[in-house]
Amino acid sequence: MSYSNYEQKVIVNGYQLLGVQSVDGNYGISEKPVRVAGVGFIDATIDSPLKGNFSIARKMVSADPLLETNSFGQYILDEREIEGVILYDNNTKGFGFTKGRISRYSVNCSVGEIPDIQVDITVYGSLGKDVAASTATKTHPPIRYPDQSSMRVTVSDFTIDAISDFSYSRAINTQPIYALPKGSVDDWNAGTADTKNLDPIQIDTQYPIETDINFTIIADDYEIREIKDRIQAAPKSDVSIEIFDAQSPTDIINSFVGKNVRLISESVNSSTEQEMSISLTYKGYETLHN
Amino acid sequence: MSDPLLRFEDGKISIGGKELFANSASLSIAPNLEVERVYGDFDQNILGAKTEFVKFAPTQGLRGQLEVSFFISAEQFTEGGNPNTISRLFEIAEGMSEQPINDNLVGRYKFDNMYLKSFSFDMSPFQIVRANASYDIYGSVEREIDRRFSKSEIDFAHSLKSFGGISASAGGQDDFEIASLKYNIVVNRKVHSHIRANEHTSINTRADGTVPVRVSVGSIEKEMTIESNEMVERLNVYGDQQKSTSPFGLSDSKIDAFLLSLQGERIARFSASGKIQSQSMNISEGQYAKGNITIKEIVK
Repeated sequence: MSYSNYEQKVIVNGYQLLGVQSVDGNYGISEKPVRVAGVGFIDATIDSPLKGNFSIARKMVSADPLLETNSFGQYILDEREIEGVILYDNNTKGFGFTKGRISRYSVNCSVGEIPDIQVDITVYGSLGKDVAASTATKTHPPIRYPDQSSMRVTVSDFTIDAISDFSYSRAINTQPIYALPKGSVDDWNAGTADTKNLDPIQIDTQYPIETDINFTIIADDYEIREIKDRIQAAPKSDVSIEIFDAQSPTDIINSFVGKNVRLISESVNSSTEQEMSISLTYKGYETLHN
Repeated sequence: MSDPLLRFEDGKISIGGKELFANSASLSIAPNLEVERVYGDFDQNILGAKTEFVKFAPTQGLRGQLEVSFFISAEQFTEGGNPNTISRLFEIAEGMSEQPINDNLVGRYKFDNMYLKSFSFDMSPFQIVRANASYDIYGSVEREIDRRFSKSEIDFAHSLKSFGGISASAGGQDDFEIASLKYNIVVNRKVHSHIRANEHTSINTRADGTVPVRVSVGSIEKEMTIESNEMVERLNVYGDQQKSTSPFGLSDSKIDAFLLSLQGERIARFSASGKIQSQSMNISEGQYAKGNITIKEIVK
């Protein structure tokens, strides 16, 4: 039996995600060959813990529940493990994961399109059937669509021209720490460790989190800066991308902010087929404590 | 006729006639020679005698070393369902035999008169357990034909199933997470040679020459070190953890290691029960704070 494209549900962090276009899940186990003098290769044994990846591509059709923030405005999932599952066969079967951490979050949009959201999750826990909750426990924010007239990009140090596309991404490096199984003489007599420590004992986010913002503007008032001046001045800007509800233009669906980001590249494109455009790339670093 | 160079796959390594699952071995043998110089004939140019080289003279018998790194397996060290026979092959214990280990083979060379000097192993998460043994060898080596042995499935000791633990003087240490564990036991020996035994010219009829009459065990000490997330707090001058008002009557601290195979078969257990010899804590860029704790036990 096969399962059609409309028969699956994707549940992550308790939310049944909306606008899902594709989900890719995989895991891998690393083995190392054991070679012995007088024999040669004998066997291959496990050499590192299980590690998996989940990639979820979505259309932005609502506020993103994976962008929850705390009272300090920090993304909660930067520091928190999540679990998720792909349900199919009338929700009776699932491929789930535990102890996942978001490793990359990106948004891309061009004129005439609904923004695309790509979330990459690194899985340090279990993968497979029956390893995660099989129902949504939280209510997903309501569906709201943006259109090309309801998006705004603001840069703090200049007035921006018409935007033809933008992309925003955050790369989050995580470091899992593993420990030996723990046990005592009683566990030795029982033949198994008390604490098996198959999962990491701690997963930490490696700061800074790198933020990349890129947008292309149709050249009008803007002029590319003189590069030597910029290198010496090394100015920083705040860049914000706000995406509003097309039906209610004052309601923000999602917003992305790059604080103290630095313009690291500019490029000009001119061709016979289209208007002259300028592409600007900003890079920023988010820290843990300041 | 074998190839001139011995392949890894054809270079069996066995100790005391028992095959080892070795991934590397280093065998060395060397005579101990002293340069003998004497005053020569009268030299008119200097109105004296110049010194001249006569020969190399041996001052001791042949002495060698064997360093072998190997994988510990359930098949090799568990007999009849009884674990812990690893200590029979690598016997370092109070009252251990002082008899030499004979019938040893490294690749194409066999030799006798070998004595265990140290044994150690390391455990790290998700890694196969690797052990190392070091031996002193007295006498020479003889060439053998290429030897190999066949094994298909071996149940190796692996950190996926093996486990460990630490308990300080003042009680259990549940907060400790062990990132790695190292066990090392060393035997210090004394070599005894009888003058009369080495005088007879018959010792020159064999390449072995003179070999010790006895290699006695002087002392045996073992150490276990863990890399951990914590240090032992309130360490006193006696190497104990002191949480009470008296440093006396405290029990020893202890680190345990229990080796199990990938299939879950018990292989051997090791421990060091004694005083905390050292501990340290390091933190550096990109790393977590890591502690190191070493406990030493005097076996003999």
